[in-house]
Amino acid sequence: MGSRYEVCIIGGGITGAGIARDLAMRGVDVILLERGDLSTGSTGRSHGLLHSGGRYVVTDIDSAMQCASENEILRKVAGSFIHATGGLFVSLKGDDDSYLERFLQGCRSAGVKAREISPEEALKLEPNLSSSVEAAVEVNDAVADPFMLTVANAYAAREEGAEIETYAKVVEIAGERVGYLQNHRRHAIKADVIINASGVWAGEVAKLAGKKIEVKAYKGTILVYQGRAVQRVVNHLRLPSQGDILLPHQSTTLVGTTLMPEAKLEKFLIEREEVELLKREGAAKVPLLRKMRLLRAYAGLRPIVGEWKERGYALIEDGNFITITGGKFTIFRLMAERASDAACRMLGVRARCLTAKEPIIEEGEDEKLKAKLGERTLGKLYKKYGAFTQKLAPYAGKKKVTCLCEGVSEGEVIFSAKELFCKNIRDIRRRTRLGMGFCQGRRCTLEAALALFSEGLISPEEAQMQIINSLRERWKGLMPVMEESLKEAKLTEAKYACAGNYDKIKKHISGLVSFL
Amino acid sequence: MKLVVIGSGIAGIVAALRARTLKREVLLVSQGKSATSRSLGVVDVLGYLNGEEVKTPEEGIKTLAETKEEHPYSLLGFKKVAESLNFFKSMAEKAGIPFKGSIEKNIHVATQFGTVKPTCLALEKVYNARVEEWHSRAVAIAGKEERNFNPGFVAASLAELLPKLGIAQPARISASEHGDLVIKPLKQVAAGEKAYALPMLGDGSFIAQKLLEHAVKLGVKVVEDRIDRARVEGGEVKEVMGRESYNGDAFILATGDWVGGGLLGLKEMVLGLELLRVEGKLVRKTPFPEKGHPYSRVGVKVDESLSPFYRGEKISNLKVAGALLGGYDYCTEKSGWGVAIASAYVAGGME
Repeated sequence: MGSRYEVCIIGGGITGAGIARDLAMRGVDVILLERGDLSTGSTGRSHGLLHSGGRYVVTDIDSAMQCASENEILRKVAGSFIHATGGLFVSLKGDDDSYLERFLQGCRSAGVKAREISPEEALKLEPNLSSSVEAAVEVNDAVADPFMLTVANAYAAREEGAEIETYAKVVEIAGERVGYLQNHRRHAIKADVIINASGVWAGEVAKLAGKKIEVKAYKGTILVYQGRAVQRVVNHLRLPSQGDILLPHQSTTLVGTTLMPEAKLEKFLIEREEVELLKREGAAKVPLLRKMRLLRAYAGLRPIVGEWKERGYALIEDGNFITITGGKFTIFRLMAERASDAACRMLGVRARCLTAKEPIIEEGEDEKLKAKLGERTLGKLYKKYGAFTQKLAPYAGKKKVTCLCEGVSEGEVIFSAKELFCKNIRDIRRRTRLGMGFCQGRRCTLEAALALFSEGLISPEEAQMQIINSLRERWKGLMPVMEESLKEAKLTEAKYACAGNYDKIKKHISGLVSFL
Repeated sequence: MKLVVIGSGIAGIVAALRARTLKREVLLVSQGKSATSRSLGVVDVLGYLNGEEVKTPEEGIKTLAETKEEHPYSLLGFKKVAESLNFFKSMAEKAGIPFKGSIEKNIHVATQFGTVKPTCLALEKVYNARVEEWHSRAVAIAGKEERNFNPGFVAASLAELLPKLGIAQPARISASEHGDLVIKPLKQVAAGEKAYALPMLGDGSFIAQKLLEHAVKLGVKVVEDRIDRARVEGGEVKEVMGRESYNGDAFILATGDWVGGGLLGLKEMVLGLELLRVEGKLVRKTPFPEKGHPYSRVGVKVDESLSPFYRGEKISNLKVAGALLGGYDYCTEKSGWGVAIASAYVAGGME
């Protein structure tokens, strides 16, 4: 770890990680500082939809074109991290039936591949759709795991020599100097160029540098149902509204999203009305949702710069301080390219962007791994880890199942802990899906801590603190849907409070210490 | 006089045993998994009140009787609670699983979480492994690693924790098979082995099983069914229904809270009995607040004879026992099996 870099990136969401990779591939000396775990800002709270562009063809054709083109690029370079589910736009009885024609026209103009199909065909493709479907259009939506894609970018960046620091909070920016706190200690580095990729916090980070950038935050809430009610993304064929989108994500169905101005950047709440709206809008398109278990709800903040209409991204250059914010998950690579181009111009670096061509992580087949785990297990792992799957080989022997709901093995837990920038159980959960199933961590939090302890990665006190913090975070997700989740809440209390006595013991456990 | 007990958790089983020892005809209707089957299998009588550890369960219960009307211990009174625990101990002994301990004081047990909790009665091997006995001894946490048990973790966690608690200070505590006190998970202690037991999640299942076998030996009839409705006439329950119908002169509802399925949301599932409600938010923002969550106190409202209210009327031939009762919080008080046993004893006695 040196103290002088060419570029310091502040923010480890998908954009920051994308910039780190892009610049590192051009030979630029980069450090990335993220105040929490990677993708714990807005990125981790998105639904992971890679837009075909259809959503924007009528109201914002520039965004539509960007999405269409980036969608295709990402399928090429990040294919293993993307589930090419395809998508449908459907209208229901009572919707404006003039929208279909405008939609199809918009798709043609924007270069968004779209094929109109009959309602019968739509129902054949998605049997759980409402029978009141009136019109349907097939598009190329896809789904990615925002955590995994961010980690992949950071991993690739690190392979190219970038330094990635998590749980590093920037507290001071003065010219070339960036001061940050990590593990209760103060660090300082110098960088020729500073890139502010802190998303919705871009205004706050800019303030540290004595600059003024106004970022407005708009909250979007998402419901998580247990089970896959649809195999492809389902969008509402109408002017963009709240509750338009359903999509399959691993073993769950996501329904989103709302759009509400939000004044607080931290500790913002999900209103019950948002949950009810999304339940209604989701069930209108897929009535089966009414019978499915609502696991949790979560919300994220969209950064919007300037006047609100539809989201474009903002790239603001001010001396050696570049801010990139706004935008959407689907176009992260493009945003990263633009920000990297700007930095390279400042540095006099002539190398060109390679991220549209090179795969993020090289694919490869490990025959020994296939033989050891079997094709079926390997397939399941591939759905989660994409091209990282082959890197699991050294850990394949640790077969004990740590998370029963999602079938996460000890090997996956240890691999993530050692190689994927994890500092605690919550970070591990984001990579492995441990604790994301119907028990929401109840059955595996203690067990994951024991696996890490067993491996010598954390001390017993760290394990205890992580158990508590991990359960606290899961609890936050249960809160908005608590009326439906009293049994799950009581089971969690019975295990950790009644049997474990954590409610009384926690005061004896001192502060959080990271283990790497 | 025929009694129908609905629920085969610890409350249902103890109610059936009590009624049977009073020579009543007893039918126990069981639907399967319960909170009991997941529990540690120790009898928590009362560990904490208002977030503070009680000096003794006896003192805590007497305090409750003076202040809170809603708590089951207040309704029942100290004398009945003490009687019920003696009854439990005698039944456990007869069932071949003797329990030790007394309402006059709490003991502390170590857990697989590397923590310590207060409890009152425990199986002999668990009781003998209580932390009070660890003072100045070489304590060995032994046994095979399991998914949710790691001897090294337990030993190291407790080594950090014990000095802060002031219960006892062992000379040494480590993961080992040798020491003055060798403690291993109950299920891993072989018959006749000189080792003491660590209570583990799920031990409650084995204890409930033994007690139920004893109940059957005494003549309690057990059927498997899930009761989801009942017929009430003239202020009395006439029959309860699941796949089959079961009639009786008296009924005990021991269907548990949300875990057992006795409650769903804010509704009692068999009859829609009146509940003790809570005002405002149901849960706090963190999962383990020291004083618990408001929703935990939700449960069926009863009078001192444990009879509930249905459409404004008291149902005199129906009693409620166990976690289905409202007015208490077993997770933070550590009072689960205590309330279950005491209410079941009184309900089964049809007093």
